[in-house]
Amino acid sequence: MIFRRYNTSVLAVVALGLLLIYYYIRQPLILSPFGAKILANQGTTLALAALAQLVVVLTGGVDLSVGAVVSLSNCIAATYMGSHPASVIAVCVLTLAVGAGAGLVNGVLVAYGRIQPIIVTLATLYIFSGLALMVRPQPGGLVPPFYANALTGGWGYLPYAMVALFVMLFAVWTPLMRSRLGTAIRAVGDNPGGAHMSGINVPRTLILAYVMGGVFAAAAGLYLTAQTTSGDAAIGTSYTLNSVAAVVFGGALLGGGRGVAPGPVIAAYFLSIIISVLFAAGISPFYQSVFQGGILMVVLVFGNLWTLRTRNWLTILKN
Amino acid sequence: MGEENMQRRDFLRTTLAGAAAIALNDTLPGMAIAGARECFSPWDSGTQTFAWKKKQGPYKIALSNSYIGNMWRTEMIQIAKAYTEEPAVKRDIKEFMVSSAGNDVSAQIAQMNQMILAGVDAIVLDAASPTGLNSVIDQAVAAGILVVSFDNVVTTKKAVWVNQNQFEMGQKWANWLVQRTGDKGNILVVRGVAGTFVDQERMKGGEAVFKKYPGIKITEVYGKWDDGTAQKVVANALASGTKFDAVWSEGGDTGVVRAFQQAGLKMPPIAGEAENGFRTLAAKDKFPMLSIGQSPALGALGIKVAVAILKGEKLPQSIATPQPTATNATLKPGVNYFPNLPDSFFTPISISDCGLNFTAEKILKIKV
Repeated sequence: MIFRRYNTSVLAVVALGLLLIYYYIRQPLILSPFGAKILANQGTTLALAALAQLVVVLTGGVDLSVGAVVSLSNCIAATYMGSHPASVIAVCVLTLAVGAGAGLVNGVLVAYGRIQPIIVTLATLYIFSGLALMVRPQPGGLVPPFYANALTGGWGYLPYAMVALFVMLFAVWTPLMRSRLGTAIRAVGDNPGGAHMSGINVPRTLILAYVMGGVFAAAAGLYLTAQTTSGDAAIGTSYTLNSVAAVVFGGALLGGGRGVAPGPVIAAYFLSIIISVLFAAGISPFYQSVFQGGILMVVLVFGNLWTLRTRNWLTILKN
Repeated sequence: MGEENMQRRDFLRTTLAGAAAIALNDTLPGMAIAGARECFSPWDSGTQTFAWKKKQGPYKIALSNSYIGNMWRTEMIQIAKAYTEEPAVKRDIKEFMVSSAGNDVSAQIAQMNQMILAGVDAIVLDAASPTGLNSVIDQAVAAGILVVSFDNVVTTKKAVWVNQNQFEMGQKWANWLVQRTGDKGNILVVRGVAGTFVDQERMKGGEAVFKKYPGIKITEVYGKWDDGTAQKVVANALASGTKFDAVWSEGGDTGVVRAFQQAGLKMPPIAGEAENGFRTLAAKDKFPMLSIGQSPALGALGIKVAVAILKGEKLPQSIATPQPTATNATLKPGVNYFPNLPDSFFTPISISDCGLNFTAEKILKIKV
């Protein structure tokens, strides 16, 4: 039963497992407290960004503004954080609120403006990046060491990044997705007409999904701030498409309605760690991105090999 | 060793040159001015000497590059590889590895962590963000690894900087143009990528000059250092009907020239970067040109600096390198422009003052 529920994530788990084994063969030092810490730190921002993308993808949309919200929250956090614990907490809350606000704008435009999500978020992508550039025209800013250490440090083999991610996953994501809202989000993504007929408030569900996405993207930005200890308005760009890749790789359907959290999160780690592995393997930098894309493609094709065995295309189309 | 004196003398010369060089630039060939400077000049009077513990060679050196999608970065890596293959250099280098993370700060952090794990002696760095790597640089330094940043330098003082002075570059372009237009006129300013350190510094240098002349009016567009983008935005600016008396451009200059050609306008004086297409067109069409460019040999110079410091030499923490300059008078095919190579090729492949001399044939043969 559990396996059925999570079987879309199996591909990502197997891929990450193989990648780590190969990495360990090339660089045995990753099995040290420092190694565990860098592995965990590497993928956490993308993992949070992938959750932000996943909740929007579940509604049948796609959020191109994820990277811009990551940049914006990174700039806000690094610029206003200060060094007093109280101001740090206040700025973190403010940053998450700005993320929620960004999601609200997206959500309202999608739900009531009746504009395609891809266009709405493309437009807001420019707006949010512009705001980030206004907050921080030049890279810089300051983050207190205790903030950076609380998120990127580690206790023996336990990296704090894992703790932060699990808190977001089990204290925020899971309760929300198991609530009526979560069910509504999946229903709207699967069949908006049917969801409406069953009495689900579709616009409200859409808005809340985008708000949730905004909050997770802002959380990704906060994590990135701890990792880089500074703000840079151009930092988030790569998270937009990588988060989409992580979501698809993690087994969610871009058409909406289907997808569970573990897959995209694990896929995010795979996508983030792969560049270190290519480096450890001594691949020329010029071909690294070719290999990165190639490995991703091979993994995805391999994951879909079963489709060759089925007798009837209907089974595939239904899946 | 009199090193301090040498540095001060050189600093004086650099700052004085800041005022005078521009006037000189026109009469003297550009390389002559560059030739007057020593290789490891300190950035300014506040520059400290970098303290680092001497280490026994040969060394394991890693080049951490960010973006790889343009000709400059490709040449930079080719030149760095060619440099480490030179017999005199090879003796000091046990292992040399290169990695490119793309313009993705966390990927570059990961890559540098990987280099820390691999136990290298020095990391030579072209950063994806001037500030985003500071924490991982702290970790590297704590692990006893020397970090030398070049081109897109980082802000932390724990790393050595090797770069051309971008402010000065913008200033030189502007001064040359102002002389050409007679202290007045409409100047089209083609900027780079918004929000980057290089764009801001070059523009500040340009503005420092322009604002001194009330008769100068500037119009800004963003060409993103890219020929195609620059051509498009310049064409748009020309379509607005404004007559421009000169162009100050941070890059994508081949595109800038093409946009003027396509509009059928007379070519104004253009001060810009050092792309091959720009210089080739200037040689062919004889329009007034000043070309000062970021040298792709900076990566090799970073390696040279790293090896020197590891060997125990005392160098400044920030090193300002010479500005490779060419004007119409100094253009020479096969030397500072290459009619048979692509437009996108970056011409200043050698930094002769630092003993870095390469030929286009040699570096293009190197596999990246």
